[in-house]
Amino acid sequence: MEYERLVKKAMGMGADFCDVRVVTSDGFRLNLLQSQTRDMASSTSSGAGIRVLLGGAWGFASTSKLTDTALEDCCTIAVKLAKNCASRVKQADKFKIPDSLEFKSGHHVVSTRGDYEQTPHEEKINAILALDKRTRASSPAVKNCAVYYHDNLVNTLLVNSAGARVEKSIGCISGVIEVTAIEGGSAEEGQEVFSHVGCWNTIDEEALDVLADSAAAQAVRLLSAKPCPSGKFTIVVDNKLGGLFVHEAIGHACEADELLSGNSVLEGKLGKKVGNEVVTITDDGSVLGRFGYSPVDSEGIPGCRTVLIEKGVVTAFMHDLETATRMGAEPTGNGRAQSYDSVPIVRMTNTSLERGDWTRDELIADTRSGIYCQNWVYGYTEPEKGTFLFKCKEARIIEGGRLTNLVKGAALSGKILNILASIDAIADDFGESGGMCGKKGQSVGTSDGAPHFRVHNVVVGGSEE
Amino acid sequence: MSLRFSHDDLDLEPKVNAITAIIQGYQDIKHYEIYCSAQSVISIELEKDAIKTAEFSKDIGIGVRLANGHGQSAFSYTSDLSAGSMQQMVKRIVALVGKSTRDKDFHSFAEKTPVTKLPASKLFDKRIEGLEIEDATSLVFDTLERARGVGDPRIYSVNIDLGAGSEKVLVLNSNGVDAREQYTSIDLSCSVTSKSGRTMTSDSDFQAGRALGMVSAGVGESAARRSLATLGKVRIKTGVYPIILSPRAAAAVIGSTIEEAADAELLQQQKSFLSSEAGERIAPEFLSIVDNAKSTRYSCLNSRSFDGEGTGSTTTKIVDEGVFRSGLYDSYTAGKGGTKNTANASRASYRSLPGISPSNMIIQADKAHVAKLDEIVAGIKLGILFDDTGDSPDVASGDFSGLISTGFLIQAGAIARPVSLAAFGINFRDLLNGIELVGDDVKDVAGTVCPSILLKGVQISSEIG
Repeated sequence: MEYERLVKKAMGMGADFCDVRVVTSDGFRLNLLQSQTRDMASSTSSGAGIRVLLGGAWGFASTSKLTDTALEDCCTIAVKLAKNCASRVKQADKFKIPDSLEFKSGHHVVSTRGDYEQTPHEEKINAILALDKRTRASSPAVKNCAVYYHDNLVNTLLVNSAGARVEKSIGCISGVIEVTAIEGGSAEEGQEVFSHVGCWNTIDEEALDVLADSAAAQAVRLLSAKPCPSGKFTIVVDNKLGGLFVHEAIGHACEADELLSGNSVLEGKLGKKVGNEVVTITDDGSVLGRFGYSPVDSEGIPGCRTVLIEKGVVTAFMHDLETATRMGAEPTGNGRAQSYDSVPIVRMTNTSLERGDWTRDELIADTRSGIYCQNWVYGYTEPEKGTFLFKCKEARIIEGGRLTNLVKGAALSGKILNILASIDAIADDFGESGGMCGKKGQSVGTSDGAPHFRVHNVVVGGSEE
Repeated sequence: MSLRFSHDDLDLEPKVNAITAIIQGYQDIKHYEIYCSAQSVISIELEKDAIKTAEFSKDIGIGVRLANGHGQSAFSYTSDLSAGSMQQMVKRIVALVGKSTRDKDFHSFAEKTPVTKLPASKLFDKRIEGLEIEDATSLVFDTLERARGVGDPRIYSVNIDLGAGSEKVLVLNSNGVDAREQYTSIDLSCSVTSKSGRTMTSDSDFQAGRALGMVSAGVGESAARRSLATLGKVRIKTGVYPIILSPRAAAAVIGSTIEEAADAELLQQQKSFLSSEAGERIAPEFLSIVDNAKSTRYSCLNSRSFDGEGTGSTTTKIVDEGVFRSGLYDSYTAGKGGTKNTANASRASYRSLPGISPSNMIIQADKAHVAKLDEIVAGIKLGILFDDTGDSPDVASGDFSGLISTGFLIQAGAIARPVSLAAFGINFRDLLNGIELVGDDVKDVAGTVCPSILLKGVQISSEIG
């Protein structure tokens, strides 16, 4: 099928803009539970999504059948959906993708089929079994190890009514290592995530060993941890928890669709100071080594570096085609879709808090009383309320500038704008980790990074007064 | 255009016969399971009072699990139902089977069990199947009108999502399982952001069910009233408060925790705090928690005649008069544990392997411990009505800390002002044992059926930001 023909058909039916995304993917997944390979699956899938903008409304239809008939039907349905909605669009909300917008056609090949097929599944299975063995041997307290592994190679072809034709082929690996330690009737879990852009032939297997060791050590360590005290504290945040903070608390509030829907605490804050001047936050899809790498987004816009907050001042938001058009900004390459059957929406790529000039040790030594919070269990924000909560995996009490007792169960919460103003010191180190971010039922790869930093007056809801 | 499938789409019988014949050509394969699903979905998104996107998708395919006599198993799927593609899929799975670990705990896929068909009228509504995009759009705009109709200028923005789907499922396996059923579902959610001065807050309401009549535009009005009610928050002092969990919070706090903790996979891996509690009292004697896939009351959202492996639906007493009686099992975990399969295998589509999840979870108390909600509130001098949280406990330890994202102060026996964000911390065992009474206001919260629940003292930390 000449996919451009579908675009022409939609335009002939009255569309103002149309794009067609055809996605084919190969994937392999494996869950290792109690030393058994479980849920091992190898799959191939393909499908197409056709999106039509007409009279200020989007219509989108997708099919897993790539036959001419199915695609033609899909195109007709997308136009019909858009027309139906267009009749309800208020004049003030109508928009058109500007003709002046330049899409860059091209090929973006990070991984080839050859790369993907170079490693037999057996080799990956053996490597994962070795991680299980390694963690179990690390301590008698380690009773269980679970590894959830997933890889894929995704090929995407995008054509649109502006004449763009973009192809990309990217391999990805992601997973989780969970280790359970049990002693004296109490159980604790250590967890590490791994992610990699590329295929197994370029993965660093030694790095996986380090993560497995870390998950096991954490599980054992937590067996002796006491409950975290609750109250207001000065906290020092490590790279992993810091990355989550940047992603959840700031990143989501900087997604322009959240602003347009009236759901962001940063609405009306462009150009205004919202944080301490040590705070600079960026999103950059063009960084190849990180899991949010997006050389070109699902709408054909190249990934780029966007400075969201510079020295505490809101300088830009992340955009897709629609939000950029409606807000009079340039698209930033953040229009990303999970697969052919989902519409692109504004998503983060690689989001970072930029480095400062302290060292981690100086941050701790300079804190008379507080908590050093490490790694995360989960976190979320409610951007419209401007609030957040992060569960951190483990923490250490800081007394007189020194790390003392190990504690667990710390839940950090607060208001985004208050916290941004309360960050007073940032270290010169940097750590990042990748993972899957969910929004509106879609999951895409992102990476979040931060140096160690210090925040005052954070409410910690532990389980001990 | 509607959610109806064509006859060709649903004529999966010849495809299933073809796959069975292909599988039977492999001598080493002793067990097979074929899962077919055909799904069509319409969704409409309204953002900040304006129609944004209408989507339609159709997805039909087959997933196959194979295992040999050593318990080695693997899975794959395809949406390409041509003979060549199905042959390739089976070949791919057979190759993978030989690479998986031998599993002595695998006995076979689901055994054939009696399947009592639920009334089709409880699972399938022709009005949803015949829903036209124009009807769906009208429902969304009626919902907007009801939200705006509250007439309060503090309502800042209204976002609405409507999803409606039709699905046909067919499961058969080498043990003679042959189960098929059709479902429809619809969900309507409305989120309203309200502003008063510098304060912005948001709340939502939703309805869902298998019949069109389960949703109504009235959800717009209730969402608006909920949102407005959360303006004007007051700070509360850190301390220990009696708590009333609303049905929504009870579903989030108790339903979600039991759902995870009773998962047989986690129980067997010793990763649940319930792992060592079989036959032990974990809650007051008056409290029971039941999983009932055969329920024809309430929304029937998770009702089904058989589970994702074709096992006939059952009713499972998870907690019976305060005693932990049973986890939730699929065929593998039941075989491994030498216990009854509770028919809790669930699958999202042909693309996914079965996971364990509850069907309709019902939390109930004996009559002596049910009181009118008004009377429960009237009996509290100073407490909190806890209405929502996004948090979940550490299932391994049962420790539970998080945020009360929506809550109201109870003062002198009456519900007063909304409370500013507050953090709570408790162990889930203590939470269950702290249940004193339940209300008479039973609600179905997306498949979890529960009343309001009164808890004695819970540690609350405040104030945030």
